[in-house]
Amino acid sequence: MSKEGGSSRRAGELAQPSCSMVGLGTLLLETEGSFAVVIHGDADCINPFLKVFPHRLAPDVARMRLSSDRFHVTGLTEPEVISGGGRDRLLRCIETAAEQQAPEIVFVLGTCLAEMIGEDVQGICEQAEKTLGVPVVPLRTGGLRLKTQAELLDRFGTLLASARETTGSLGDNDDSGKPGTQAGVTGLRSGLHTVTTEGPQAVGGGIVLLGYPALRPWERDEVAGLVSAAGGRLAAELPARSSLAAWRGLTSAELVAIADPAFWPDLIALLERRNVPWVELPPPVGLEASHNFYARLLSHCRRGEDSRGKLDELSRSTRSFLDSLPVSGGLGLAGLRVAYCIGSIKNYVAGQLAREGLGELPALLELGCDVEVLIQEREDQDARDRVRKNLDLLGVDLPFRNFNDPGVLGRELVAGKYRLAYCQDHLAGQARRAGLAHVRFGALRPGFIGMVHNARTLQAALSTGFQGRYGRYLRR
Amino acid sequence: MTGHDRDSSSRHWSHTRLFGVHLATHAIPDAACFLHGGEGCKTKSQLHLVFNDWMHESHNRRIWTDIDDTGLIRGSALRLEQMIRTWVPRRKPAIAFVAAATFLELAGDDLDGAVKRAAAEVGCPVHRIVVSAFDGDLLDGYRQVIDRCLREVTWDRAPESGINVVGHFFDRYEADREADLHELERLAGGLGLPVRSVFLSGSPFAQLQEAWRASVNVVLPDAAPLAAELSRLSGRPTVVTDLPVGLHGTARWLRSVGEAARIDSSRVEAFIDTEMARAVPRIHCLVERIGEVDARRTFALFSHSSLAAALCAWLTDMELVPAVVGLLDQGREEFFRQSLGRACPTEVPDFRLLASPSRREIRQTLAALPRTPDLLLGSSVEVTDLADLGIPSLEVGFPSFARHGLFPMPTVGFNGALALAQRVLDALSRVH
Repeated sequence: MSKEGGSSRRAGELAQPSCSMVGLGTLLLETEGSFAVVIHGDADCINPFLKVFPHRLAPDVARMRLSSDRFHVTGLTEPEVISGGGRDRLLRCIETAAEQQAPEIVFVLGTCLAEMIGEDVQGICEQAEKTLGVPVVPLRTGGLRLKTQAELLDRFGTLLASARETTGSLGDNDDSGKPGTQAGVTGLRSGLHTVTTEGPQAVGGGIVLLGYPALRPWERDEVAGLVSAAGGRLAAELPARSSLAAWRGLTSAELVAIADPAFWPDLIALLERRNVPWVELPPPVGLEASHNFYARLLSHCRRGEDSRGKLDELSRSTRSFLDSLPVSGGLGLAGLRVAYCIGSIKNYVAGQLAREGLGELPALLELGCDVEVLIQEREDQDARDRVRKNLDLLGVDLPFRNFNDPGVLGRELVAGKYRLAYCQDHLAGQARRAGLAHVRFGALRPGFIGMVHNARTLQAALSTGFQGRYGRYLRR
Repeated sequence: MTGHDRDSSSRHWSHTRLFGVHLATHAIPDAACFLHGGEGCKTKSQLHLVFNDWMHESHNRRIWTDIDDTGLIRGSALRLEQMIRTWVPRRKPAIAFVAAATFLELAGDDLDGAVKRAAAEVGCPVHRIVVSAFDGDLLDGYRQVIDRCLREVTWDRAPESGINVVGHFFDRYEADREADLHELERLAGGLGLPVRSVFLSGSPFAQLQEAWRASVNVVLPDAAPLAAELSRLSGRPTVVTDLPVGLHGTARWLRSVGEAARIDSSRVEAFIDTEMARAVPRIHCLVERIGEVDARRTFALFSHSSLAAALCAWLTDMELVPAVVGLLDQGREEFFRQSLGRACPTEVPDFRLLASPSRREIRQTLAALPRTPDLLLGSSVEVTDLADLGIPSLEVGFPSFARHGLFPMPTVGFNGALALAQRVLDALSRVH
């Protein structure tokens, strides 16, 4: 794999495109903070957000309430659509949201219907803002102009990170545009994309991880422990643990580590305008990837050398564990035929979408698996060329297969003679019917402790776990 | 939730007819559903089924046309027609349904013509179902699919025996819903009546088409608007019933079905007696411990109207007292009152009735009660929203994201009455 992630890539090209209303709404749904969301459209458009479970993030995320009750919809009626009553309806809806929740900010999302009737959402929001004295931020969204999920994440991050103060206004674009100053970077060294300077603006914001999987508590302990030993501080994980406050603090971070810079062009431009140092560090999934990640991250900390011994010890002990794994009796992973399935993801999880979903590939290769990439994509030559180009830019020279629809994945899985499929939950049925063990996409974890987990996860799927013991009964 | 008259926060059954069509198609395992809409419309519908049904994936039977701005401007009918022509041969469904998102209905393209032209060539019935987010809810969309399926039955053959059940709300292929179907068959079997087809039940389309064999149609309340037309269409006696839930509700259902099928009443009563003799002593063990006259346990219940009436009646019959009942569907308050009156064998104390409440309204209502209810019954949404109140809870109805059917526990019939009593006991005891 390339260490640089292919800067000329257009990120998100190999994942599912998205409706921007659903995408930005989903990201807001998972963001803590005092805000309301108003959707201007028909009643059905609130349904992507009628979620009551933190179903797709780390196990400890129960602390983060998915507050879909912050969402409101104008629920346009047919007469309103036809006779232009939408304006009043939206104003009333914004007022209701402000009255019920007393939010710091109201975000207004457009829909296909609002776009189709040419509603002046911007003007209505300006009027509401004047009346209510609360920032009302219109976001021109809808499903008629598809976006990559990467584009939406970048837009979302840039939007929230460009807030200038707690109750300050937000906009789609950062309008400062001026070289900022940066303070509180005494724990950092040079060699970053932005040369840091002392100044009055920032206040020692620690290290922010951008675009990585949400760390589980024990994974976070590993990262925070190593960073702390090096004299640094892990400040935030974005957008994995999203909050208005965390995003607002991004521009005062000491360092932003970015899993896939191709994802975040606008946000990086903002960071650079604000003189926030950032560094590209590919996801630490796999032993070598973890070692490289930590070595480079710690090198930017004040006492990076002090933590070197701890890092090496962690690396050695993890290697020792992996070397102790049985290599026979069906438990060995060397040569295991694995189908690594991408292109079906539409969950707006940056940590899974980074590097086109191939962030966990190094772990499988390191364990000796014989991996092929299966991509939900058209099967024509243009599509194949586009896939190859993306893989090349990512430094992935593995063979790949296209499957044009989830319903035919099983056929490809059988044809490839795989034993295990690493794919999203909604494809698991195809894997089971094809007689393959299934490991849920995202189950391969970062860090040294994650690598131990990864080896055990694969073995459990194949033999030692419930699926391994009873897998033959799961074909249905 | 078309009229946001009171507030604009999400209601539980915000789902519109579009999702109803989606859900109904899920309940026919060899049906395909063409959803003509934008990219975001996938999330509106698919997401909710993924978490509701652990056993059966549905996305492989959905075909989305993904209309973008260019498609909208140029007209989307041609793309719809092409998608039907392409995907019906690939998927080979036994029947297909086509529903369009509201903004595409408004665009005024000739979707009817597109469907007709494609349907003429693809070799399976293709039904266009007009849905709109402007009126109706998912029950309406669900019923529209049932209506189309009923029209695909060759009714002009001579009936054999048995019943069809029309209007069964089947939302997932899990053991709880399968248990409901088995219980329906067991109840009908107690009267000597085979169940020919259940609309809908997870049965393949061909099995639904076997409905001609039945001599009587039993229409459950959510499909009641179809009854008159079904009677005309099928030429068979058609009886509308309430849901067979609880002891009294199940006995009433059996009597209605028996009467419609001209089963000797003594046979019906003998079966009811046998079942009562089995169930009542067990349920009494619970009721005598929770039903003190001066210290009745109270409950709050949130569900769609037909199930709410049936459950409210059964809980009241078990001597619990309703504090709040919220109807999560739209415009069925009058039906609820009448159905509750029929289904409950005893007087129902006064309670607060909420019609299509928002989540905010539900929370405010419960907070304003002089006494916190002893029991909460609702869908995943209410149970989760109100979790901080610490009320022992039962997840009932749709959606059911937390409770899943690994082991058969029905809601309907005498076994359903026992199962619900068991769940009430477990919840009140806080021991599961």
